[in-house]
This record gives sequence, structure tokens and C-alpha cells, in this order.
Amino acid sequence: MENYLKLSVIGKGTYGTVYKVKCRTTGKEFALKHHSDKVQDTTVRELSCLTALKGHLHVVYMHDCFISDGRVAMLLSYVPYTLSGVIHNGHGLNMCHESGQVKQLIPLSFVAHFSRQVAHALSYMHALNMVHRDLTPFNVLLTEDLTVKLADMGLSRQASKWMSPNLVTEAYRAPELFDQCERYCLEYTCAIDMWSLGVTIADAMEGKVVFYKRVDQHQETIPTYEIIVKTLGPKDRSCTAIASWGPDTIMPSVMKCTLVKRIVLGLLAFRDTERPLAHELLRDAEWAHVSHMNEEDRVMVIDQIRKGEK
Amino acid sequence: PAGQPSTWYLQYGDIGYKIQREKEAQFHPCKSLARQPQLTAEARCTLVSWLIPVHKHFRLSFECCCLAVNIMDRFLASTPVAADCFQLLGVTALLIASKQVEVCSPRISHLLSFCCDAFTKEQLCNLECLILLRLNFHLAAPTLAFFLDYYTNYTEAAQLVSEKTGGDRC
Repeated sequence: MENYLKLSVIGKGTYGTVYKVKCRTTGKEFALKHHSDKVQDTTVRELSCLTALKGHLHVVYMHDCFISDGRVAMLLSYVPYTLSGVIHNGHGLNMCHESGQVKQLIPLSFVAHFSRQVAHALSYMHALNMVHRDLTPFNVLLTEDLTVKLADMGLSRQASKWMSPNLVTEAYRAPELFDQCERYCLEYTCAIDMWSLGVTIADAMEGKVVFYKRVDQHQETIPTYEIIVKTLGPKDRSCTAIASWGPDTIMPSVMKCTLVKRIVLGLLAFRDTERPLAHELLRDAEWAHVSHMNEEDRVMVIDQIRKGEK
Repeated sequence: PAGQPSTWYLQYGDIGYKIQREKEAQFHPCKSLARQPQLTAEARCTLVSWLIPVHKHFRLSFECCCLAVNIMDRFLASTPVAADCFQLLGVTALLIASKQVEVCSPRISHLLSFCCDAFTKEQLCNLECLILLRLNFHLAAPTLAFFLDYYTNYTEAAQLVSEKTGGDRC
């Protein structure tokens, strides 16, 4: 570990700190995830997942792992960008005015591109009965050539009948995870990751966190779960007390495009059993066709990334 | 009547089974006792027989117990262990396995009390790190529990099919 020079702090969390480091002999850059506590449950799970998924094109690669003073440090590939940095730009796929020009910030092909690469990683994880459990645009990373790398497997684990529901950043959390009924644990499946992917696509279309809790005109906070029920809840369950919104209220750009509407509403099926599986999404020929990015599309996304860096 | 096959089995069973079968060779050590000057097959048998009620006491899953034995065996294949540390290896393997697959892992002090407090917390934590290093952090072994579950689901699904076709004939 002494062979790596710490350059800067990339991220901090309850788990510890992620540093950007440089190898003293080769000059290559890596990310070093330094856990601050002794070997925690989440650390063991992350190690178990990262080694099991080693070599998957769309999962962040663990080059090495060290233990010093009982603390684990993982040497990961340094992946410079997050999906959030590209898609949370306030405009989504809409045209916007910028320095005197009307232009689009991200192309539809990129949305299909990243969602298929995420689905690729998920289909392999799900086949291993492994659920990511914390899929958000913040831990979908992007390399220079826009290849997706899934990161933050700290919550990932093999699915079992009973798992603690207290996971997934709220805005990306599937409805069945809110429905706790005061039970400590509940049964759920890999379909929770497919929901999170659906929300991520919706975010990209709208340019913001679609299911983020919001304040209405009466200064009352509407939490994520209520937004989900209002917009996507099953008709038989929508009680008269909650006025139904319909999906166009919160994701107009998604609803404008027939193809995206079909993909997103499929993934955002309120009942988990109705959501498509990762490999089913990959089999969607129309979506696959759209996912081809030409040079112009790439330049558009790279420009967006560069702007975010400034 | 047969039970219902699990959702995972119906969706991913066959692909998952294929992947796990391919991984199996990489995770299952042969002759795990070959390098052990102090440990015999009988001693290993005694330890496994002891781990079974211990994992039940902590309400850990069968999967967890299988993983613990796998971790222990792979560690034994790599590192000679003194007879008086063998029990510590058993509980430490159980702790690592539970961190991997359970919602909550048992408290270290509870685990140590099952060993009549013959070991300290520090010893256990040191061994935990050593195990992780020696296994090169490869922890997700295909287990007996996985294959049993797969075959049970397979049988149940086959029975459901035959019940249906049988019903059609009547």
C-alpha cells in the first residue's frame, strides 16, 4: 500500500474515505477505498461481491486489497465520472437555451446506452442471486469512453428470504421497500434493482431526481412514497383521499416518447412481479437499436461532462 | 402436492446453476488436511458437528453454515493451524460467513463465550484478517445449500409440470 501516493479525496461516507491514488512505480491512477472501521458486515459483502464479479465489463474492477491494522483498503479502478454528473443537468432531453443557442444536452442514444450496460451488469448479478440494493445515478460510474461501471457494492448481498428494508437511497427505492408494516425485515427480489434502473432512466429524461420528495403549493412535503402511489399506484388501491397525478405530471419527457414510455413504465410497474428482468430488457430490440451512439452523440455527452467539471 | 418453486429459480435458476457449477472447482479444496501436522479428519468432523448447533443457536441460515465450513476448509488448505486454535478458526469462519449472508452477524463476545472464553477478541479479529488475506478475499463460494435448493426447486417444478399434464389426461 506504501506504493500508492494519495493525491486527493474523492468521496467520504460512513464506511470511510475514497482517495485518488497514484502508483509510485507505474504512475497509474487508482481509487483507494479506505474503510475506517474494523472489518464490518458491509465490507465483507462488498469484498465478496467484487471478487465474484471480477472481470465483468460493467462492474468496477478491484485490482488489489490490503489490510493494515485490521482495516480493509480496496484498490479499485479510477473511474472519473458519475452518471449523475451527466444526467442531472436540469434539462434532460429537452432543448434548452445556452449561450445564445437552442440545443439538446444529452441524446436519447446515451440513455439507452447506459441503461443497457447497467442491465448487463444486473443480469449477471441477479443470476448469481446477488441484489445491488443501492442502484442510483451516483454510483453508476462512467469511464472516459462512456463505459458504465457499477460501484458501491457495500449493500449488495446474496438475496435471501429476509433482508433488512433499510436500503436504497430514498428517491430510487422500490415501493415494496416502503411498505414495511412495522416488520423488521421483508421479502423482496432483484426486481428492486429494476425499479431503481427505471427511476434512473426517468431522471435522465427529465434532467433531475424525479422521485425526490417535494413541497407542494401549501408548503407541505410530499414524500417519495406518496409521489409513487399518486403517479404509479395501482388503480384499485388509490384511495379517494390521495388525488391521483398520473405519470405525465412528474415525468412529461418520458411520456412524450412512446419507446421510453414503454421502457420506463415497464420498469416502474408498482407490483414487482410485473417488472421486466434485466436480461429481458436486454432482449428489447427497439431499445437496443436506439442505444447505438454516433460520434456526434458522444461529443454531446463528453461536452456535458466537461461542463460539469468546471 | 409439490411446493411452489422460488421466484429466483423460475427467473434465473438455470443460468445461475451453470455459473455456480463452473465456479465450484475454484472454491472446493481437495485434501484440506494434507498440510496440517496437528489436525486429523476426526478433529475436523468434531468441529463441524459443533458448528452445526452453534449456527442454529444464533439462528443463522444453512447457507451460512455451509459457507463457514467452506471458508474453514480453504483456510486449512493454505495454512497450518495449531490444534488449540482450531475452534477459534471455526467461530471466525462462522462470523465471516454470517457477515456475508445474514442481516445481522452475531456479536463477537457471544461467539467467544461458546468457546468457553478461551480466546480474546483481538485474537479473533487478527485471525479474521488473516483468513480474508489467505483466501485472497474470494468469499462467494457455491455451497451445498445452493445446490440443494436448486435441486429441490427443480424437482418441484418438474412435479408441477407432471401434475398438470396428468390432469389434462383425466
